[in-house]
Amino acid sequence: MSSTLQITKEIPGDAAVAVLRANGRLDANTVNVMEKALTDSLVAGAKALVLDLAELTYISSSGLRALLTAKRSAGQKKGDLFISALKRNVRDVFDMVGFSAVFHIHETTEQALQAAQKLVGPPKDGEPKAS
Amino acid sequence: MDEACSNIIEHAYAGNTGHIDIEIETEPGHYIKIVLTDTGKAFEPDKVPAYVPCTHETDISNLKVGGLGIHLIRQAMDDVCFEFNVRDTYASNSKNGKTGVFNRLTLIKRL
Repeated sequence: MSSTLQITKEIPGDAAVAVLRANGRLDANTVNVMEKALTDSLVAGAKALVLDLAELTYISSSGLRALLTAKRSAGQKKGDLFISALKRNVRDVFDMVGFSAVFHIHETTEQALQAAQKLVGPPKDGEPKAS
Repeated sequence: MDEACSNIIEHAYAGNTGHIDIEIETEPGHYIKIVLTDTGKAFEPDKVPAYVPCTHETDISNLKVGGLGIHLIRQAMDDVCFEFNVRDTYASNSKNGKTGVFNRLTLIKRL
Protein backbone atom coordinates (compact mmCIF):
# COMPACT_ATOMS: atom_id res chain seq x y z
CA MET A 1 0.00 0.00 0.00
CA SER A 2 1.44 3.35 -0.92
CA SER A 3 0.84 6.19 1.46
CA THR A 4 0.52 9.86 0.71
CA LEU A 5 0.73 13.07 2.65
CA GLN A 6 -0.19 16.53 1.45
CA ILE A 7 0.69 19.64 3.37
CA THR A 8 -0.71 23.08 2.70
CA LYS A 9 0.78 26.17 4.26
CA GLU A 10 -0.81 29.41 5.28
CA ILE A 11 0.68 32.53 6.83
CA PRO A 12 -2.32 33.99 8.66
CA GLY A 13 -0.79 37.35 9.56
CA ASP A 14 2.57 37.93 11.12
CA ALA A 15 5.22 36.02 9.14
CA ALA A 16 6.57 34.65 12.43
CA VAL A 17 3.66 32.20 12.55
CA ALA A 18 3.01 29.56 9.90
CA VAL A 19 0.04 27.21 9.81
CA LEU A 20 0.61 23.84 8.17
CA ARG A 21 -2.32 21.54 7.43
CA ALA A 22 -1.53 17.87 6.90
CA ASN A 23 -3.75 15.47 5.01
CA GLY A 24 -2.95 11.76 4.74
CA ARG A 25 -0.55 9.43 6.53
CA LEU A 26 2.69 10.40 8.25
CA ASP A 27 4.97 7.37 8.12
CA ALA A 28 8.42 6.33 6.93
CA ASN A 29 7.33 6.80 3.30
CA THR A 30 5.97 10.31 3.69
CA VAL A 31 8.03 11.73 6.54
CA ASN A 32 10.29 13.62 4.13
CA VAL A 33 7.25 15.67 3.00
CA MET A 34 6.59 16.72 6.58
CA GLU A 35 10.26 17.38 7.37
CA LYS A 36 10.62 19.60 4.31
CA ALA A 37 7.45 21.58 5.07
CA LEU A 38 8.51 22.18 8.67
CA THR A 39 12.12 23.03 7.83
CA ASP A 40 11.14 25.32 4.94
CA SER A 41 8.78 27.24 7.20
CA LEU A 42 11.46 27.77 9.82
CA VAL A 43 14.01 28.80 7.19
CA ALA A 44 11.46 31.23 5.71
CA GLY A 45 11.31 33.03 9.04
CA ALA A 46 8.55 31.38 11.03
CA LYS A 47 9.30 30.90 14.71
CA ALA A 48 6.01 29.39 15.80
CA LEU A 49 4.56 26.57 13.75
CA VAL A 50 0.92 25.52 13.99
CA LEU A 51 0.37 22.01 12.74
CA ASP A 52 -3.26 21.22 11.98
CA LEU A 53 -3.54 17.42 12.00
CA ALA A 54 -7.34 17.19 11.62
CA GLU A 55 -6.94 15.23 8.38
CA LEU A 56 -3.97 13.13 9.49
CA THR A 57 -5.17 9.54 9.61
CA TYR A 58 -2.00 7.81 10.87
CA ILE A 59 1.34 8.61 12.47
CA SER A 60 4.30 6.26 12.90
CA SER A 61 7.47 6.54 14.97
CA SER A 62 9.19 8.21 11.99
CA GLY A 63 6.56 10.91 12.01
CA LEU A 64 6.83 11.40 15.75
CA ARG A 65 10.61 11.82 15.43
CA ALA A 66 10.14 14.45 12.70
CA LEU A 67 7.77 16.44 14.91
CA LEU A 68 10.20 16.27 17.81
CA THR A 69 13.04 17.48 15.60
CA ALA A 70 10.90 20.40 14.38
CA LYS A 71 9.97 21.31 17.95
CA ARG A 72 13.64 21.36 18.89
CA SER A 73 14.54 23.47 15.83
CA ALA A 74 11.77 25.96 16.57
CA GLY A 75 12.92 26.06 20.19
CA GLN A 76 16.40 27.08 19.06
CA LYS A 77 14.76 30.16 17.50
CA LYS A 78 12.83 30.81 20.72
CA GLY A 79 9.77 29.50 18.93
CA ASP A 80 7.72 26.35 19.29
CA LEU A 81 5.45 23.85 17.58
CA PHE A 82 1.72 23.89 18.31
CA ILE A 83 -0.35 20.87 17.30
CA SER A 84 -4.11 20.89 16.83
CA ALA A 85 -7.19 18.83 16.03
CA LEU A 86 -5.74 15.33 16.49
CA LYS A 87 -7.92 12.39 15.50
CA ARG A 88 -8.49 9.89 18.31
CA ASN A 89 -6.17 7.23 16.90
CA VAL A 90 -3.36 9.73 16.32
CA ARG A 91 -3.86 11.16 19.80
CA ASP A 92 -3.59 7.61 21.17
CA VAL A 93 -0.13 7.29 19.60
CA PHE A 94 0.95 10.60 21.15
CA ASP A 95 -0.30 9.31 24.51
CA MET A 96 1.50 5.95 24.15
CA VAL A 97 4.89 7.63 23.86
CA GLY A 98 4.22 10.48 26.25
CA PHE A 99 4.41 13.14 23.55
CA SER A 100 1.12 14.54 24.83
CA ALA A 101 3.12 15.71 27.86
CA VAL A 102 5.80 17.57 25.91
CA PHE A 103 3.93 19.00 22.91
CA HIS A 104 1.41 21.82 22.99
CA ILE A 105 -1.74 20.07 21.78
CA HIS A 106 -4.91 22.08 21.21
CA GLU A 107 -8.44 20.97 20.44
CA THR A 108 -8.81 23.46 17.62
CA THR A 109 -6.45 25.13 15.18
CA GLU A 110 -7.84 28.50 16.23
CA GLN A 111 -6.69 27.87 19.82
CA ALA A 112 -3.28 26.69 18.61
CA LEU A 113 -2.94 29.79 16.45
CA GLN A 114 -3.77 32.05 19.39
CA ALA A 115 -1.12 30.31 21.49
CA ALA A 116 1.43 30.67 18.69
CA GLN A 117 0.65 34.34 18.22
CA LYS A 118 0.89 34.90 21.95
CA LEU A 119 4.35 33.33 21.96
CA VAL A 120 5.78 35.45 19.16
CA GLY A 121 4.08 38.65 20.32
CA PRO A 122 2.93 41.53 18.15
CA PRO A 123 4.86 42.13 14.90
CA LYS A 124 7.70 44.59 15.26
CA ASP A 125 8.06 47.53 12.89
CA GLY A 126 9.93 46.56 9.79
CA GLU A 127 9.12 42.87 10.02
CA PRO A 128 7.57 41.45 6.90
CA LYS A 129 3.86 40.83 6.98
CA ALA A 130 2.06 38.37 4.84
CA SER A 131 -0.13 40.01 2.22
CA MET B 1 2.78 -3.90 11.16
CA ASP B 2 4.02 -0.68 9.59
CA GLU B 3 6.45 -0.17 12.48
CA ALA B 4 7.62 -3.77 12.33
CA CYS B 5 8.23 -3.64 8.57
CA SER B 6 10.04 -0.31 8.93
CA ASN B 7 12.33 -1.87 11.54
CA ILE B 8 13.10 -4.83 9.29
CA ILE B 9 13.84 -2.59 6.30
CA GLU B 10 15.94 -0.21 8.35
CA HIS B 11 17.82 -2.63 10.61
CA ALA B 12 17.64 -6.20 9.30
CA TYR B 13 18.20 -5.30 5.65
CA ALA B 14 19.90 -1.97 6.39
CA GLY B 15 19.72 -0.54 2.89
CA ASN B 16 19.97 -3.86 1.08
CA THR B 17 17.09 -5.39 -0.80
CA GLY B 18 15.29 -8.32 0.75
CA HIS B 19 11.93 -9.96 1.25
CA ILE B 20 9.51 -9.78 4.12
CA ASP B 21 7.00 -12.61 4.22
CA ILE B 22 3.78 -11.70 5.95
CA GLU B 23 1.29 -14.29 7.17
CA ILE B 24 -1.96 -13.19 8.76
CA GLU B 25 -4.27 -15.50 10.64
CA THR B 26 -7.44 -14.38 12.29
CA GLU B 27 -10.34 -15.76 14.17
CA PRO B 28 -12.97 -13.03 13.96
CA GLY B 29 -13.94 -11.76 17.37
CA HIS B 30 -10.99 -13.52 19.04
CA TYR B 31 -7.60 -12.57 17.68
CA ILE B 32 -5.50 -11.51 14.74
CA LYS B 33 -2.01 -12.97 14.43
CA ILE B 34 0.62 -11.50 12.12
CA VAL B 35 3.88 -13.29 11.45
CA LEU B 36 6.65 -11.36 9.71
CA THR B 37 9.65 -13.28 8.44
CA ASP B 38 12.88 -11.86 7.05
CA THR B 39 16.31 -13.20 6.24
CA GLY B 40 18.21 -10.05 7.17
CA LYS B 41 20.58 -9.38 10.00
CA ALA B 42 19.37 -10.65 13.37
CA PHE B 43 18.25 -7.79 15.53
CA GLU B 44 18.22 -8.09 19.27
CA PRO B 45 15.45 -5.96 20.72
CA ASP B 46 16.90 -6.30 24.21
CA LYS B 47 19.97 -4.40 23.06
CA VAL B 48 17.87 -1.42 22.02
CA PRO B 49 17.54 0.87 25.03
CA ALA B 50 13.97 0.73 26.23
CA TYR B 51 12.08 3.84 25.26
CA VAL B 52 10.79 5.69 28.30
CA PRO B 53 7.59 7.63 27.59
CA CYS B 54 7.91 11.36 28.13
CA THR B 55 6.42 13.12 31.13
CA HIS B 56 5.91 16.80 31.87
CA GLU B 57 9.42 16.76 33.38
CA THR B 58 11.10 15.46 30.22
CA ASP B 59 13.75 17.75 28.75
CA ILE B 60 13.27 17.26 25.02
CA SER B 61 16.66 18.72 24.17
CA ASN B 62 18.24 15.55 25.62
CA LEU B 63 15.48 13.14 24.70
CA LYS B 64 16.65 9.90 23.08
CA VAL B 65 14.01 8.43 20.84
CA GLY B 66 15.64 5.09 20.06
CA GLY B 67 13.26 2.19 20.45
CA LEU B 68 10.20 4.31 19.68
CA GLY B 69 8.97 1.85 17.03
CA ILE B 70 9.33 -1.20 19.27
CA HIS B 71 7.64 0.66 22.09
CA LEU B 72 4.66 1.41 19.84
CA ILE B 73 4.49 -2.22 18.70
CA ARG B 74 4.46 -3.46 22.31
CA GLN B 75 1.83 -0.89 23.26
CA ALA B 76 -0.45 -1.70 20.34
CA MET B 77 -0.26 -5.51 20.47
CA ASP B 78 -1.13 -8.01 23.21
CA ASP B 79 1.72 -10.42 22.46
CA VAL B 80 5.01 -9.69 20.70
CA CYS B 81 7.58 -12.42 20.10
CA PHE B 82 10.93 -11.86 18.40
CA GLU B 83 12.87 -14.93 17.26
CA PHE B 84 16.24 -14.80 15.51
CA ASN B 85 18.30 -17.15 13.41
CA VAL B 86 15.51 -19.70 13.42
CA ARG B 87 16.10 -22.71 11.17
CA ASP B 88 12.75 -23.91 9.96
CA THR B 89 10.29 -23.68 7.11
CA TYR B 90 8.52 -20.38 6.75
CA ALA B 91 5.69 -19.00 4.66
CA SER B 92 4.72 -22.67 4.69
CA ASN B 93 1.17 -21.99 3.56
CA SER B 94 2.23 -20.18 0.40
CA LYS B 95 3.65 -21.48 -2.82
CA ASN B 96 6.84 -19.67 -1.86
CA GLY B 97 7.31 -21.69 1.32
CA LYS B 98 11.00 -22.27 1.96
CA THR B 99 13.41 -23.66 4.50
CA GLY B 100 16.34 -21.71 5.82
CA VAL B 101 17.60 -19.45 8.55
CA PHE B 102 15.42 -16.47 9.25
CA ASN B 103 14.09 -14.02 11.79
CA ARG B 104 10.49 -14.19 12.84
CA LEU B 105 8.33 -11.61 14.56
CA THR B 106 4.93 -12.77 15.80
CA LEU B 107 2.35 -10.17 16.73
CA ILE B 108 -0.95 -11.06 18.34
CA LYS B 109 -3.83 -8.72 18.98
CA ARG B 110 -6.81 -10.02 20.88
CA LEU B 111 -10.08 -8.67 19.51
